[in-house]
Amino acid sequence: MIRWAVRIAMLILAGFGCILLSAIPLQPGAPQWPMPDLLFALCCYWVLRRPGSAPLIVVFALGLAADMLLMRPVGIGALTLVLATEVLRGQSRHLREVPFVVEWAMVAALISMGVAMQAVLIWISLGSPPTVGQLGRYAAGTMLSYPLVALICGGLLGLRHRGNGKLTYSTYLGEG
Amino acid sequence: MAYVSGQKQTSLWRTTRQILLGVIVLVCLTLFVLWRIDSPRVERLRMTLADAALPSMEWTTRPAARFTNMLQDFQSYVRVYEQNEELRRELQTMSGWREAALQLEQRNARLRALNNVQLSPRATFITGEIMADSAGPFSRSGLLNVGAGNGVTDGSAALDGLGLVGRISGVGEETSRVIFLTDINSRVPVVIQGSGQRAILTGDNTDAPLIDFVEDTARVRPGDRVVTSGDGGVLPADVLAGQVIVAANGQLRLRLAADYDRLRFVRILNHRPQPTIHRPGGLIADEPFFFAEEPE
Repeated sequence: MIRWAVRIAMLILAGFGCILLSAIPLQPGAPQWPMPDLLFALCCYWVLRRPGSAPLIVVFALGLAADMLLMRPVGIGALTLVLATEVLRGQSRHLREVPFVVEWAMVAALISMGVAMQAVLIWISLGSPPTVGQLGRYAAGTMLSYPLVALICGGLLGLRHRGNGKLTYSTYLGEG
Repeated sequence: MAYVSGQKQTSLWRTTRQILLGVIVLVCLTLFVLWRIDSPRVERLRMTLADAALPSMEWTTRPAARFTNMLQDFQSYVRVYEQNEELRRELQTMSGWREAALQLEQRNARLRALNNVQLSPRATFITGEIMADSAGPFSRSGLLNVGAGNGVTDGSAALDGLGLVGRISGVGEETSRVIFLTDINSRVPVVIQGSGQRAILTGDNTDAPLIDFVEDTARVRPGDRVVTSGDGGVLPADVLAGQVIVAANGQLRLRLAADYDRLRFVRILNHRPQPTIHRPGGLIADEPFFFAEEPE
C-alpha cells in the first residue's frame, strides 16, 4: 500500500518535472522545434508498466495542469492524454510480451491520433489550428522522446515490467 | 468464496472506473467549450494556477535557461575577434546616426515649442523576465514574472528594446502572460508607413507574421516600416513592429523588429488611452432631477 502511494507520488513528481522541463524558455520567441509532449510519453510508459499506480484521476490532473501551465488549449490536451492512457491500460497485458519497438509503434500511433484529434477539435470549434507541418513536427518530437523517457524511467526510477509469469492474484488486483 | 467476492468487487470497480472516465471526458470537453466561448474567465483560472506554480518554475527554469545562455555565450566567444571587428564598424556608422538624431531631436523640440504642442503623458514601463514559454505548436506566448501587483494591466503592449513583442493577455497577481505577435491567435492593427495604409498583422505560428487586409498591395514596398496604428484602443499607436518583406508566393509578411531570437526581458508599456468624448458634457442636468424630490 505504501509502495503504491510512493509510486503515485513519484508519477506526480515526474509529471510535474516534465511540465517544468517543457516550460523552460530556451528560445521563447523563435523556437526552431516545438518542445515534445514529455508528459504524454511519461504517462504512456507508466501506464504500460504499472497500470495500478497511474490512476485515471492523477493522469487527468496532470494533463489539465499541463494544459493550463503550458498555455495549450484548455481541456483537450488532458482529454487526449486520458483517452490514450486508457487505451494503453486496456492493452497493457498484451503489450507486456511484445518487444519495445512494437510498443513504441503503438504509442506513436496514439500520439499522432491525439495530435490530430486536438487539431480537429480546434477546427470544429472555429479556431485556427496550427499547420500540418507544425503538428507533424510536434508529434514526431514526442514520438522520438518516448525511448528517451523510457530509458530515464526504466534506468533511473527502476520502472520496468514486472517479471514474466509472476502474475499473482494481488498484482492482478493491483493492476485493476 | 473470497474469489467470488473479489470478482464482484472488480466488476463494481470497473463500472465506477467507466463512470469516472465518462465524467472526466465530459469535464474536458466542457472546459474546452468554455475556453472557446468565454476565454477571459478560463484564462483568469489559468493565471491563478500559474501564480501558484510560478515560484517552483522560477527555481527550475531560471538555472536551466541561464545554462543554455552560457552555452550560447561560449559559442560566441569562439568568434569574438570577428564580432569585435563587426561591432567596431557598426559603431562607426552608428555614431554618425547618433549625431543626426541629436540634431533632429533638438530641431523637433524647437519646432514643438513654436507650435505649443501638447504631448500625451509619457508612457511608463515595467520590465519583466520571461519565466516560461508555451512549448507546443498551439500557441506562442510566454509567462512573465510581473503581474497585477506590479501594475501590469491586461492588453498592455510588450516591447523589447527594439520593437513590439506582443500583448499582455491574462494577468495574475505576480505573473502575466504575453502573447507574441507570431502566435496564431494574435491580431494587431498596424499602419504601413510610406503608403500610410492600414492593415492587420496576423500571426500564424511562423517567425514572420502575415500582413493582412492591405487595400493596395502594389503600393507596399519591401522594407517599409510597420508601426501599430492604435486602432481599437488596446495598443498605443506608433510602436515599431518591423519591416515589410515579400514572401516567395507574393504574400506580405513582417520581419519583426524585436529580437525574438534572444528574447528574455520584456518591457510592458503602461499606456493609458486618451479619454474619448462620447457624450455631451454635464452642463445639462439629468432628467430625473426635475421629477425627484428636491434635495434637502
